[in-house]
Amino acid sequence: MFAKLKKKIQEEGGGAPPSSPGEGEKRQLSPGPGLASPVADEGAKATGLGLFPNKSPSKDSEASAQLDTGHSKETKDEVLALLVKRTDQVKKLESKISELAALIKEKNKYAEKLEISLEKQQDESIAKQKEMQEDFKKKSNQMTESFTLALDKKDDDWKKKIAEIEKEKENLQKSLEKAEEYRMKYFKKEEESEEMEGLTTQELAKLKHMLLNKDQLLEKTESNLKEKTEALVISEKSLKELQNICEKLKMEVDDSKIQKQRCEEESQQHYTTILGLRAEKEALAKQLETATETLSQKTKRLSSLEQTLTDMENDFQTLQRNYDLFQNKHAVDVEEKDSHIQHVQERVILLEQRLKDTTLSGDEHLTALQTERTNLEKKLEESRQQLTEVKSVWSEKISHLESQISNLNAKIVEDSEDFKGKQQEMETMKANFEKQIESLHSKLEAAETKVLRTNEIVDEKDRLLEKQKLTLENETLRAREMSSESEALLREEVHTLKSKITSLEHNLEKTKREHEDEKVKLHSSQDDYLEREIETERQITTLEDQLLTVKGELKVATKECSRISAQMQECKRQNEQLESKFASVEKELSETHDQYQSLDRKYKNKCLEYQECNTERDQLMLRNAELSQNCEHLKKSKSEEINSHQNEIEALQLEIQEKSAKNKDLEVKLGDLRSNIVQYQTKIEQQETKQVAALSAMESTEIQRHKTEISSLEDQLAEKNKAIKMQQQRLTDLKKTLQRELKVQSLPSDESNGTSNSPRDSPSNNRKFPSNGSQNKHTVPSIGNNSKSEQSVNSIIREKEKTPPAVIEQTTIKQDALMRNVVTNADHRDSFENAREHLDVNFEYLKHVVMKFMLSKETEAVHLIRAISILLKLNQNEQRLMKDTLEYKMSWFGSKPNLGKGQTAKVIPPSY
Amino acid sequence: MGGLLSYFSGLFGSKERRILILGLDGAGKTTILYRLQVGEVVTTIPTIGFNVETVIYKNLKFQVWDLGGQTSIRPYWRCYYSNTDAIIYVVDSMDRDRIGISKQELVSMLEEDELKKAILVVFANKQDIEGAMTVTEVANALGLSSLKNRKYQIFKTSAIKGEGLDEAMDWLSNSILQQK
Repeated sequence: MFAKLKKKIQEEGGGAPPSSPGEGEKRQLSPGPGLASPVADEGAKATGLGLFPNKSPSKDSEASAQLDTGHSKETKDEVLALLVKRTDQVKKLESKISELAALIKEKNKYAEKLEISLEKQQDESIAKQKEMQEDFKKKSNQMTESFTLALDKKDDDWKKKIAEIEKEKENLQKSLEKAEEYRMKYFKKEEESEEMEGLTTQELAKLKHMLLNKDQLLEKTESNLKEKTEALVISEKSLKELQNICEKLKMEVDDSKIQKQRCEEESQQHYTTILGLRAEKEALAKQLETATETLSQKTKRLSSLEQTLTDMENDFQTLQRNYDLFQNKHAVDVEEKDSHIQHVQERVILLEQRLKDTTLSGDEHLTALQTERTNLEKKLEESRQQLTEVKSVWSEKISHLESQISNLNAKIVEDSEDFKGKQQEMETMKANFEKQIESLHSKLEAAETKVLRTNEIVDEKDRLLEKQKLTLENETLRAREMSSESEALLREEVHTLKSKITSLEHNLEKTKREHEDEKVKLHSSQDDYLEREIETERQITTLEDQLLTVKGELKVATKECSRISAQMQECKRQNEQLESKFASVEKELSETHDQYQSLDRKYKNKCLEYQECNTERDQLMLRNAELSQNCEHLKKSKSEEINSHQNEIEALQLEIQEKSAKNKDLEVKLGDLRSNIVQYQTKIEQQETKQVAALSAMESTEIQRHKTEISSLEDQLAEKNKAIKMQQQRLTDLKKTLQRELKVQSLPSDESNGTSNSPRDSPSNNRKFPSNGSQNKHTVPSIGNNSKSEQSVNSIIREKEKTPPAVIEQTTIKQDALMRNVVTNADHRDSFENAREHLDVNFEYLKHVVMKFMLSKETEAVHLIRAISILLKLNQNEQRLMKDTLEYKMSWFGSKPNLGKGQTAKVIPPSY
Repeated sequence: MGGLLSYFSGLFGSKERRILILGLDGAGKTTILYRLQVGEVVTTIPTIGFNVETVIYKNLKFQVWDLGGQTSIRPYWRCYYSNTDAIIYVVDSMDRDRIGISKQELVSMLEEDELKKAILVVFANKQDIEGAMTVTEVANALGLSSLKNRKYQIFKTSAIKGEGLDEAMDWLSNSILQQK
C-alpha cells in the first residue's frame, strides 16, 4: 500500500526519476487496472477539494532511498561518512516522522475539518429544513390565513387545547414516568425482596436441607447406633451364648476327658482282665493238657489193665475150664475110686466073711457055708437082678443094637450068618443054656445031689475051701495086707489127692478169690477210673464250657475293647474337634471381643459424634430460630414494604388507570381532532384544489420533493455517521501503525523493512527467474500488494454501491477523499507489515519444504528440488547438482556427481 | 533399498498419478485431500507449505499434492507443476469477493506449459452453506467457457458433508484412464 501511495504520489507529482531500472520495470508491471481509476478520481477530487495531504514525506523517503543506494556500494573508508549519513538519514527519518506526525495532525485536522464540514452540512441541512419548514409554515399560515380566520382561531384553540393536552400529556407522562420509576423501584425492590426472599428461602432451604441432612445423618447415626447397639447386644448375647457354649464345651471336654480316662481305665482293666483271663486260659490249657496227658496215661493204663483183665479173664476161663476138667476128672476118678472102693469093700467083706468062716467049726462051717451060700444066692440073685438089669440094659442095648442092627443092615447082612451062627450059637447057647439050665437043674439036682455030693464035695470043697480058704485066707491075708497096703496107699493117694484137691481147691478158691478180689478191685478201679474219667470229662466239659464262655467273654471283651478303642478314638476325635471348636470359639471369642471393643470404640465415637451432632443441631436450631426470627422480621418488614408498595402501586395503578383513561379520552379527543384536522386538511385540499389547482399541485410536488430530500438527507446523515465511525477506527489504526512504525524505525536493522519495496528486491527476483520472467506477470511480493489493495478498494466500492444514488454525488466526493487518505495511510502500514509477513511466511514455507525434502525418500524429494531451488534461490548449477545427487542416490549404478573438493566441496567427505 | 523398492513398485504396481489440489486460501483444499484419503473430516490449520498423500480410488493410485493457497506462497505453486496429470482447482463458493482473484490465479496457472496436458477439475466447494454461488455462477465467474484445448469439468462439492467428491473422482479417474 505504501508503495502504491508512493507511486501515486510520484505519478501525481510528476514523479521522481526512477532510482533503478528494476523499480521502473516493477512500476510498469505493478499497477492494476482496478487501481488506476480511483486514484485518478482521487487525484481529481482531492485537488478540487484541496484536502490532499502533503507530498513531501514520500519525496523524502525517495531521497533517502537514493542516498541508501548511493551509499550502499561505498567502501570501508566511507563507513564513518556512512554513519554520518545514517545519522543524517536518521535525522531525516525523524524529520519524516515529524512530518508524518504533522501529516497525521493535518489528517486529524482534516478529520476535524471534515467533522466540522459534516456538522456544517448538518447545520445547513437543518437550516434548510428549518427554512423549508418555515416556508411551508408560512405558506400554510398564509393559506390558512387567506382561507379562514375561523379555522385559525379554531386552530389556535385546537393548538392551545393540544398544547394543554400536550402539557397534560407531558404531566401525565411525567407522572407515568414517575409511576414507572416507582414501578421500577417497586419492581427492583420487589425483585430485591424476591431475591432476598429467594436467598432467605434458599438459605432456609439450605439450612433445612442441612438440618434434614443432619437429622437424616443423626437418624442414620442413631439407627446405626441402634443397629450397632443391637448388634452389640446380639454379639454380647452371642458372646455369652458362646461363652456358655464354651463352658459347656469345656464341661463336655472335661466330661469327655473324664470319660476318656474312665474308658482308658476300663480299657486297662479290660486289658488286665483279658490278660488274667488269658493267663487263666493258658493255665487251664496247661491243666487241660496235663489232664489230657494223665487221661491218656490213665487210658493207656486202663487199656493195659483191660488187656490184663481180659488176659486174666481168659486165664480165669482157662483155669475154670481146667478146674471143671479137673473136677470132672476128679469126679470120674472119685467115682471110679468109689466103685473100686465098693468093689474092694465087697471083696473085703467077702474075704472077711470067708476069713471068719474058715475059723468056724463043721456046723458053723456048714452054717457059714449056708450063709455063704445064701449070700451067694443073694449074690446070685443080685447078679441075676444085675443080670436082668444087665439083660434090660442089654435088651435096651440089644434094642439099641437092633436099632443099630437095623441101622447096620449090611452089618447084619454081613453079620447075619454070624448072627445066625450066633443065633444058633445063641440057640445053642440057649439050648446050652437050657441044657445048662436043665443041666443046671440037673446040675442043681446034680448040684443038690452034687450039693450033697458038693456037700460031700463042699466038704471036700470045704476042705478044699478050707484049703482054699486057707489059701484064700492066706491070699486074703496077703490080699488084706495088700489091700491094706493098697488101701493105705490108696488112702494116702486119696489123701494126697484130697489134699491135692483141697489144696487145689484152696488154690482155686484162693485164685478165685484173688481173681474175684482182683476183679472187684479192677471193677472198683475201673469204676473209679470211669468215675474219674467222667469227672475229668465233666471237668473238661466244664473247662471247655468255661473256655467257651471265657472265649465268648474274651470276644465280648475284645469287642468291647475295640468298641472302647473306637469310642476312645471317637472320644479323641471329639476331643480334638472340641479342642478345635474350642480354639475356633476362642478365636471367635477374641474376634467378638475385638469387634466388641471396636464397636465400643465406634459406639463411643458415635456417642461423641452424636453429642457433637446434637450440639451442632442445637446450634443450628438456634441459628435456625434466629434466622427464622430474622426471616419473620424480614418477612414482616417485607410484607409491610410490600403492602406499602402495593398500596403505592395500587394508588399508582389507580392513577395510571385514571391517567390512561384520561389519555384514552385525550387520545379519543386527539383522534377526533386529527380526524377534524384530516377533515380540515381535506377541506383545505379541496379548497386548494378548488381555489388554486396549479399552485396546490406545485406545492404538493414541492412538499414531496422536500420530503424525499429530507429522507435522503437523513440517509446521508446515517451514512456519514457510519463513515465518521469508520474513519475514527481507521484513525486509531493509523495511530497504532504510526506507533509501530516509530518502533520499527527506531531499530536500525529493520531499516530494510521500511524500504522493502525498494528497488533492490525486485531486480533480484527477476534475476532469479530468468526463464519465467517473461511469463510471470507479477512478482512474488507485488501479488500480495495488488490483491490486498484490490480487496480494500473493492470493499470501498461496495460501500459506495450501497449508498442511494440520490446522494451519491455528494458522498462520492467526500468518500473518495476519505478513501484516498485511507489508502495512503493503509499503504504506509501495509508496506511494512506485508514485507514482514512475507518474510515470515516465506521463511515458514522454506522451513516446511526443506524439512519435507530432508525427511522424505529420494523419489519423493526429487519433486521438491525445484521448490527448494526457487526458495533458496539456487542457480542452475546447484540445482543440477542436487538432482544428480538424488538420482545417484536412487539409482543402483551410475557415477557420483562431482561435488567439489576442499573449500568448494558441497558435501561432508565420507569418513571411510 | 528404498530405491530398489520404488523401482519394483514402479515396475509391478500401478503407476501413481500426480494430482495437484490448488485454490485460494481457505477454499478447503486440505479438507478435501484428507476427505479423499481418510474419508473423514479432519481439523486443519492453514497450510504453509504443502501436504502430500497417496489416495487409491478405483484401483488407481493418486499422489495428491495439496499446496498451500496463501497469497504469499501462491507463486511457489509453479514449482510443482511438472509431471502433473490433473489439477483439482478448489473454489470457495461463498467467497464472492475473491472469485476474481481466483479466476486470475486459474488463468495464469493454465497458461503454464507444464500443465498443457493436465486435466482440470473445478470443485465449487462449500455448497452446504446457504447462499453459496451455484455451479453455473462459479463457472461463469471463472470464465471456464472460454477454456480451449482443455479437458475440464466443474462439480459442486461439500468437503464437510462429503457430497460431490465421489462423482468428481469418478469423472477424474475415468478421464485419466481415457487419456492414457
